Amino acid sequence: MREKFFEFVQQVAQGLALDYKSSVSLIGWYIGLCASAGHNRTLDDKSSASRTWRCSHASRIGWLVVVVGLACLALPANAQPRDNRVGLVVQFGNEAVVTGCYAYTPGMTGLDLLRRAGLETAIEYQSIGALVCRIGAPTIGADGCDYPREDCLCQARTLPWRYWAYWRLEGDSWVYADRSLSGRTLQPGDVDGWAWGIGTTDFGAKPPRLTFDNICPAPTQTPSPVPTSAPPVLPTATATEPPTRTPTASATVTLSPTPPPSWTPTVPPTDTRVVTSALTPGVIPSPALTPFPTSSPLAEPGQFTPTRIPTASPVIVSPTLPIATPSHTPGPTLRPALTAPLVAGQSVTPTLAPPGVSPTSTPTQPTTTTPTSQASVARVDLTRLTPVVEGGGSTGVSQTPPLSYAFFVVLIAGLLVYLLGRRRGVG
Amino acid sequence: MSQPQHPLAWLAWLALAFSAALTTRNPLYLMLILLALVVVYQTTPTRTQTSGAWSSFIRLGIFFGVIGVGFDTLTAHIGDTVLFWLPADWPIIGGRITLEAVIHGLTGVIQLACLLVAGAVFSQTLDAALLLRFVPPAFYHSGLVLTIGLAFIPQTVLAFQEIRDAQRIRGHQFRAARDWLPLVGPLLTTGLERAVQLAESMEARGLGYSAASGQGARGNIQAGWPTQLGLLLGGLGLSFALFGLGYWGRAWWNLALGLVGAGILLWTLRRLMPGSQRTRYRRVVWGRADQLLATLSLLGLLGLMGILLTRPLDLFYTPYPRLTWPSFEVWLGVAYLLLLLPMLVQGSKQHDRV
Repeated sequence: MREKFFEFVQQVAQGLALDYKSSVSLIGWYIGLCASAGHNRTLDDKSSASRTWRCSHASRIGWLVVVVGLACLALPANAQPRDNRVGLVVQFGNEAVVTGCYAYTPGMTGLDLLRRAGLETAIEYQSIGALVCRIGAPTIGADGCDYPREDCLCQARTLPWRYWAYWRLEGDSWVYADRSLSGRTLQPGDVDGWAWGIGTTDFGAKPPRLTFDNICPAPTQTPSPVPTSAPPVLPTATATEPPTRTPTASATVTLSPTPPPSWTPTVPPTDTRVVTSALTPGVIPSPALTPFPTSSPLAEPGQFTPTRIPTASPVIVSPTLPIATPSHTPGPTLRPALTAPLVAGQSVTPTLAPPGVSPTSTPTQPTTTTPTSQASVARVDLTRLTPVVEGGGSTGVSQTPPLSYAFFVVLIAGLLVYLLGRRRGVG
Repeated sequence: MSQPQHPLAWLAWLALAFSAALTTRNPLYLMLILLALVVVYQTTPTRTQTSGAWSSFIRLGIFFGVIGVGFDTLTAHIGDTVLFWLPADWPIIGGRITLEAVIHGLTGVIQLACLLVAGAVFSQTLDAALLLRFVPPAFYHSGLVLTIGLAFIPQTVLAFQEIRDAQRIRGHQFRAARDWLPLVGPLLTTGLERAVQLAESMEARGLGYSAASGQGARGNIQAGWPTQLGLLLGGLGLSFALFGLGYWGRAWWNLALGLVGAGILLWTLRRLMPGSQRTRYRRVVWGRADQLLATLSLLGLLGLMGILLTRPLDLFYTPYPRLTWPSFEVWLGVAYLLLLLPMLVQGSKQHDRV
């Protein structure tokens, strides 16, 4: 209660500061414009020199106030950053959830955050803002429309409307975004949410209930790496189950290119629905699991892929955690197939928590983790892990051969020469 | 070969020009289209009195387009090539100002210029009265009003130029914004006077008067309950069908409802406005040049639609999120030169623009 009160007082103070700066700027504009108008009028009237002098100085003072007002407005707000990170939650149509925590940069927009996540996106850019057509992730799949090959809102033209709904997290509840993702300037501690599903014009599918701490866990413990070359084995019985994909299953994948420098090696027993950093560094060498193909084009040695876990209850895979490498492969690699049922390297504890359980709780089954050597630790760098595929044809390199451009120049030059020659002839 | 003069042939060419300009934002293609249209604009003979006003109108359009570039640049905070930052506290314009937004705005200006030049070519070549001949009798009055509306802009530009010249002769100088006040007042008065004159002349010529019933337009609307019921049912059916497109998509019953509604509406409108049989002293001839222009324009239009359906990426370009060099397909560039058709098919030139 006391903290909320102080937070409220702080917000009011920040609001007053902003209003003060805006007022100074507006007054400056007004005085400057009035003085400028008066100055012009007096210059026309040459009869009164003193009046001209007064108005001239009034004009200068007015414009000075304008400059001061603009400078005041340009000052950054005295906001105290809660956390120098921003979070992202993406819920796909199959209820798979991807979360990510990223370092905040000044001026960062919701579009920057989505692009930074390294997800496969198709975005339609317009003057009034950007529109998300499709989001996809490796091993999870993609939802939406393949813009520009098809309409960006191809699944929102007829009932039921399906589209990517944009949300922002305020406290512990999602608020439907009233601005475009490119128009939303993030602040440290902000969380953006995306959810694919049925919606209306003013309400859409909602991401799962999470808090900023769930998405961006505070660094609590620094593991001391155990120098061992043997891949640790996690004796979790649930993880050795055959990876049968259940349609109702949901998985949460935590993506963090700039992860906190620590991880929780042991999961306390709770009944958590969503757990962040609750994964264990380890490999279950179960033959039932699908091994990583080492020749994946997306893969790099020592990297990990967010995967979908076949389980009847929501679980989390945290690629920010160190994992061990299988004994027969140099390191965990990516699985490019979007429909892969499961991946190796999982150390997941499926929980049987009923829906609606508080997200702050913890899993029921403890998961023992084995710290691995530093060499086997892999952290996800999404910008390297998955290529940013953006709709819009901006692939970075034009495929047009130089001869085509030469032909274009010839065409333009020919038309211009014709026009100029014609003008000269007419002249 | 004689120059094309049939309105339908020119309409086909105009459809091709508008479609070409509106279906791509690739600046290379747009530049090619614009240059081709300028060449046509410079070479086609002028047949209308208001054609001279179009150059000013094009300049005015491009001026507003440049303002649009500024608006794009300041409001679209998208793109990786940041030119500078405006404080995020500033409403609407606060944020990053990017090169991509500038390029996006500039392509919009080129697109707008293409549309304006194509409209200018069409307007300077065809008289509005000639177009009015091809409006179906049931929609004659609507076509007439539309034609007057289309002629309003060039006439206003002409009046603007005349008043400005008159004020300059009187020694008035246009330096600041307030100096334009003596121009706006007369322009408004002239427009109102012209509107009153037009209404009087149309009334004198019996606009809306039906020879068959011997009553005016008012009498036609009160033509009985079948007409009123047809208007109501047709309008409702068409509205529901259009509204339902957003909810149920292209369901067969929705399309059927739309077709039935449109049919009832057309039948009622035809019943409301039977029109009058008009005879022409001069008939518009469908010549060989018209045939060539219309055929090739329609073929070009079909080809463009085919590209849109099968290879939309060939026409697609956006500078966002990171500026890239636009692609250019040689065959597509050659195909855009179809817009030069009016210049190619015409033979003798009556009089050139100076």
